Amino acid sequence: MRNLLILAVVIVCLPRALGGQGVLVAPHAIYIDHQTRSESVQLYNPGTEPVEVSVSTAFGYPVTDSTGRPTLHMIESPDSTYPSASEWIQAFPRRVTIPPRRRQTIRLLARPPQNLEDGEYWTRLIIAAKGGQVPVSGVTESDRIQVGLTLEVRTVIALSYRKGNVTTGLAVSNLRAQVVDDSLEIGLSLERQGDGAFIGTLKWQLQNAEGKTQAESDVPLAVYYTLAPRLRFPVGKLPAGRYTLATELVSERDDLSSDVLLPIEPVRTAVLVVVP
Amino acid sequence: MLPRLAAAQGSSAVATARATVVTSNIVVNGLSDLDFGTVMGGVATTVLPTDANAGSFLVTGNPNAPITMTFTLPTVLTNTTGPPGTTLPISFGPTSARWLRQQNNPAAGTPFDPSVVTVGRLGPPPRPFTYVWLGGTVTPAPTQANGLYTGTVVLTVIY
Repeated sequence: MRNLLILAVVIVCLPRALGGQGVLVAPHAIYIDHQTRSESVQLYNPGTEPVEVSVSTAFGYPVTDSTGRPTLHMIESPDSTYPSASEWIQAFPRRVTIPPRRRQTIRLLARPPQNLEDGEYWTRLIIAAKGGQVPVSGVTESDRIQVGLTLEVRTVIALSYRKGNVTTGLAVSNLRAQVVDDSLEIGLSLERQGDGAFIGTLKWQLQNAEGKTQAESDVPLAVYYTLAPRLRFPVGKLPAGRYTLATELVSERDDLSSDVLLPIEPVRTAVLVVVP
Repeated sequence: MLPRLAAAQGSSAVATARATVVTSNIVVNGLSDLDFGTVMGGVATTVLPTDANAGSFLVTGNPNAPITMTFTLPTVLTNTTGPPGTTLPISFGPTSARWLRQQNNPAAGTPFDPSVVTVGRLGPPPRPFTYVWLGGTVTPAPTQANGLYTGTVVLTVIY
């Protein structure tokens, strides 16, 4: 019911000119409890043509590369050391054609092994959507070379399955920051504690020597194992001087209900930033 | 050190009313296909991401949410109406794609290499959108067989 309500709100808020092929997915993160072992995802075709949709699972989790850029580390055949739920989360239906302006419920059923230990298990839900024809401008003629490519879109969202008392936490190290042109670059190393992924928000403030806030912002973060993001925020032209960057990691998200977030005590750190 | 943030987390007796509207969703939409139209044998043809016939996508979700975008790109296109097994090379360069928050304006978009994982961000409210455009180059041989050459471009958006 909650998902249907979300879907109704979202459909109203869609851009008016939405066309082409694609599918709306709600919610964008799935949490399944060991007691209920099921959930659902709502799909909606906002276009004017039918869309073929397939739903599959794969194991993966967010990491950062050597430049601090986030990406998803996918593992095709995770061994038993990974908390993968990919093998026992099933979607029904897995393939469906959704007519224009219609919605479809995808039911997710968990069939975990009987001896599943307490903890959090992950998979990624991949929703692939594609339209039908190859539209090439003009009339198709056999005496010409005509070229057109169709588009397929895949939406990848997180699914977490929890059994028992799951906890999380964060260890923060190597906080550093510098002002480059009109932007603030923040780098830090994060290591998850406990047995559940940290899903939350990094908030930061930049204060001058008088303690006056010069800039502030926040960014959502998900730490499954370790993460070393390098973040860049526009802050405008700052006068030369000494500043303090204060950061705070909290288990809050604007886009997720607090009842699915694992709570942590806020983790605060600070570092000096010199603008020459 | 962090006075305003700390106050929000403290155990103060001051009650703060806060309403959070949870808009938990994502839409990845292919708006228009990448259309090279009719090309000539022996003449390479490029569609720029700023061209009207470029492929275009729209990603909609929660305001300011970061997204990771990856393309799966073909290297050849297959002739679906001519001699079986006939193919046509297609390539994508380091500026074959662009993305832009909020507005459907490829000229103002940020160029990126579609063969590399790219991190974008949805727009702020009230337009939590990111547009993506894709061009490319086809290189028909002088003796390229006539027909309709097709392929599929896949945009994967990780939320």
